[in-house]
Amino acid sequence: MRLFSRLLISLLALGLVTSGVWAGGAAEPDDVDRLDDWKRQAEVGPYQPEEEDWDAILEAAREEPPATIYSNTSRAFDPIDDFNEMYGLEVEVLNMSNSEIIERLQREFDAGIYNADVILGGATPVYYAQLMHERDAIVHYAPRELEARLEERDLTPTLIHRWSVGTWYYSTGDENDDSVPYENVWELTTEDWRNRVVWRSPLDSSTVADIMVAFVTNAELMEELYEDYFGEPIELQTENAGYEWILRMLENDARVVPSHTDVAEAITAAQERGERMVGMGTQSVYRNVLEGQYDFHLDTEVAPTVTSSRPISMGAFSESPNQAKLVIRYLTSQEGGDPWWGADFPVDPEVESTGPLAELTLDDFNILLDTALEAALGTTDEVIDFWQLHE
Amino acid sequence: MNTMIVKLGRKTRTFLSNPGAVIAWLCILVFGYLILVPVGEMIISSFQVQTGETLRVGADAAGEATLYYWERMFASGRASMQLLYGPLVNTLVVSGSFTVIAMALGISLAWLMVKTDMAYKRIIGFCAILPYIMPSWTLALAWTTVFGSTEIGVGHPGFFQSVAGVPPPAWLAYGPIPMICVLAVNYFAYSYILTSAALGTVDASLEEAAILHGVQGGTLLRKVTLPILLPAIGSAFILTFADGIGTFGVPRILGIPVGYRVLATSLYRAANIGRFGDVFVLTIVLIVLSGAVILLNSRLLGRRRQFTTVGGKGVSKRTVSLGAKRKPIGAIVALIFGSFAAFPVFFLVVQSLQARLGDFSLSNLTLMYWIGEGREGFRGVLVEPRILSAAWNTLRLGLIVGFGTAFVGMLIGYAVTKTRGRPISKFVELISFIPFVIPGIAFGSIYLTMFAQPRGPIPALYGTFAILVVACMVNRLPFAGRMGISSMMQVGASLEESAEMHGASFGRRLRRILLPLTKRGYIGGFILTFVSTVKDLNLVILLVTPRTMLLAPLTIGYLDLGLRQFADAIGVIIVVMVITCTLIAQWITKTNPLQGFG
Repeated sequence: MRLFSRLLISLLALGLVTSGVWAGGAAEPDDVDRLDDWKRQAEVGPYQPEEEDWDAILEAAREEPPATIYSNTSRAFDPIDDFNEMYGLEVEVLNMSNSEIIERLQREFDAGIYNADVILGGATPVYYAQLMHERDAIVHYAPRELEARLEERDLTPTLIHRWSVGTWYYSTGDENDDSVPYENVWELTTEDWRNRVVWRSPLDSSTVADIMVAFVTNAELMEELYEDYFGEPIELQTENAGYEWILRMLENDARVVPSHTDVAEAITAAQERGERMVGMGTQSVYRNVLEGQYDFHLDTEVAPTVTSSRPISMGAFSESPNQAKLVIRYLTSQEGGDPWWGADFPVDPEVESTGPLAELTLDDFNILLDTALEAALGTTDEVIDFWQLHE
Repeated sequence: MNTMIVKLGRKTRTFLSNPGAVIAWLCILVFGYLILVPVGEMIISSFQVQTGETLRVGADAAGEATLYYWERMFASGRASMQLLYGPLVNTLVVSGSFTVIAMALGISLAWLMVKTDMAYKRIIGFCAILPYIMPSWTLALAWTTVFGSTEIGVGHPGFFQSVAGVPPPAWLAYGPIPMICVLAVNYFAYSYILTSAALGTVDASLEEAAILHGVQGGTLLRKVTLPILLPAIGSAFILTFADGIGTFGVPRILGIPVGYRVLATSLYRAANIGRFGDVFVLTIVLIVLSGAVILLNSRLLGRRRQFTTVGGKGVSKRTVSLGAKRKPIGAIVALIFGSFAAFPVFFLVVQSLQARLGDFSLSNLTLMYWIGEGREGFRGVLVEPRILSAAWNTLRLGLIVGFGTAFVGMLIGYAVTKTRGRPISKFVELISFIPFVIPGIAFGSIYLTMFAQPRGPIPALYGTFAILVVACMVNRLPFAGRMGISSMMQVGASLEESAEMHGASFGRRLRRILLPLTKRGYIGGFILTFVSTVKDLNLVILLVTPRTMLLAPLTIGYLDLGLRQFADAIGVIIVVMVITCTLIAQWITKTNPLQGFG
């Protein structure tokens, strides 16, 4: 027995010593210069020419190894197939969840592996914090001709591929009634709605994280809404009314499901059973309702909604920057972005929304909150901590 | 001077002529580098500010020394309760309960299969292995297909609710009870495989001798059979418990919807949101937990003598006759264990054919997720090139890792038995067991960092197939190592010694004596490793890239998207693949399927 413990201790000691040797031996490369060199070669950032020669870019792209896209949407498969056929390239799409993209890019970048050439994801403040502030893992790139048509907020900190809105879905349980079944977002914290709300964890969903962060950073609005509904000022057990609302939702047994499809299915199933239910998610899923796949309504009136951006960027140190440029140009075009234009809001004013949701615009949302990224940086971490403490 | 060289030379020769010691030292060197260094790095990292967390920790730069992560986990009141203590208690409750149930099931079955003349053994033996080769998360999915409730989570009614008209009670749908049931069914095969192998090698003459001396019934079991079986039972306990505490698929599917968290889900969560400081601390807690169980086990078993059960003479088999009851008993056992496998597979298949989840009517059946258009841009699994290439990668990986690891396991077994009694023996055993207590997800992330750049003689492996092979082999070493040790332990030293006396080289002894006698152990090791590699998720999920994609990680992608049917279909493909390969392996080696699992 004593021998065994002694062995265990010496094993650990050995491990510590040997790993110390390795850790000490690692050299720190001069990252800033290296990144600058790469930008110069790739002609991005300060080295992006005022006029881009797309024939030359295509020619250069043909000499590069096949690019890889990290995408949090499977809708990228089809346009990239078309893209490959059109240009004779072999760009590959890797479909991952948003958190996996962030996690993978962090690990890879720290390890000096630059596998992703284009990143198409959901921008949470964590996304920017980890990939742009703590590291230079992603780099802004927008084709010049597109840049000229965009507003500042569509370009910071990276090019936005499209806007989406974090909103609410509901079922009324009655085919003939489509009115919003709650009059205030605080009503959802009452006994009437116990176990009748479906959402995702802010750890998994950038949309949900955006909504929660917006509620926390717009705590005065949440206080006002509370007073409107309950007729008395809020008594806080937490830091502010935004956190208070999240806490009370959790205490009211809100259901946590893993994916946005699950939220949509849950509300649809409730509608079919003749029950009321409310869910949180992006407005784009409403397209599937119009196409007959799901059955629920979209709340644009009562509950506060939040804009949520979907950026597209280039991976730092990409070996295929020219392919990446072509991909970014294609996916933001009318043709290449087609799978999204029927659901989300394109940044490019020249691109038209198509499909069943084309009628809906950002102006249709009654209360539309916007979260300033800088302010949200720390808040997202706090919201995630808060969630972990109370889920 | 000269005499010193001669002495040194003689010493070296003596050392080299003892292959056991040479292999033991090789094992220590290689495993030390592949196991201890990463663990050491992780321990150090847990005391350093992680990249990207300077803001949270309030430090100036990453890499600064900090106690933040340890304080957060152990001494931060509610945070510690939520992140560590609560999940720790849940982990112990679930793992403890399911391990006991799994062992009771496995050992009873092993006894019936080996020591009685029960009927239908071939079928039962086959059925018993099925739940084990199914990925545990598919069993969990099948559970939700049956006990899904409109009152919880997504709210698809399960089969139960569709038939009974009322939702099942909440405790039956999600939470600890379903987790314990699913894991017990998934893991009882460990106990069954290991104890039936040990029972199979027990020379009945030992028991007969005892009976001749008037020992009977309970005393016989306690004094003769049980002591011989104890090492196998101990191994089964460790394998089951330690693997159980590191499983995240089942608690994710059955625990998270009702907020029931275990350490593995906490850890997975932390990794998912990039909080590697938390990950490292949780990993160390898991390692300590498993280490404690192993110490306990070695304390209980260590004082007992190891028994040589394979002598140079024939083993006489003696079975208990069940008489007229042998067929009914066989039928009942076959039914029970058959249903463990058949029900989950059945419900997986059914769900993969449902156009809409939770609708059990015949009109809802479709092949769209198999050969059709699919959904959300994904084609049916049998016509989607991404899935086909992932299937090929998975098969390749399983075969390479299976053969390789089983062989290394035998070497470990040889090294440990031949140096028995010396500290080095325990050292090799311990070091080869360490990967078992490192949860796959943490192992994967450590390997990702470690082998991203060239290290010593090893080139940068990230994104290659090789890193998957190395990581899987090292991670499965404990299985194969235990297998190798228990097989080698039962081969009497006298056999090899006499061959050596007659001038047989090590290679020849290996080929002619050790491998043939331990063939069953080798095949068992292969099957265990192959199966766990093919269904593995935790370890490889961080190491795969588009070019080295595997089936199981692909499934999680579908699950994350809420596309259950695809996940179910891939689960079925994995099951079919594993069964086919197992059968082929047995056919090639011409072993009886029943014994082959030993």
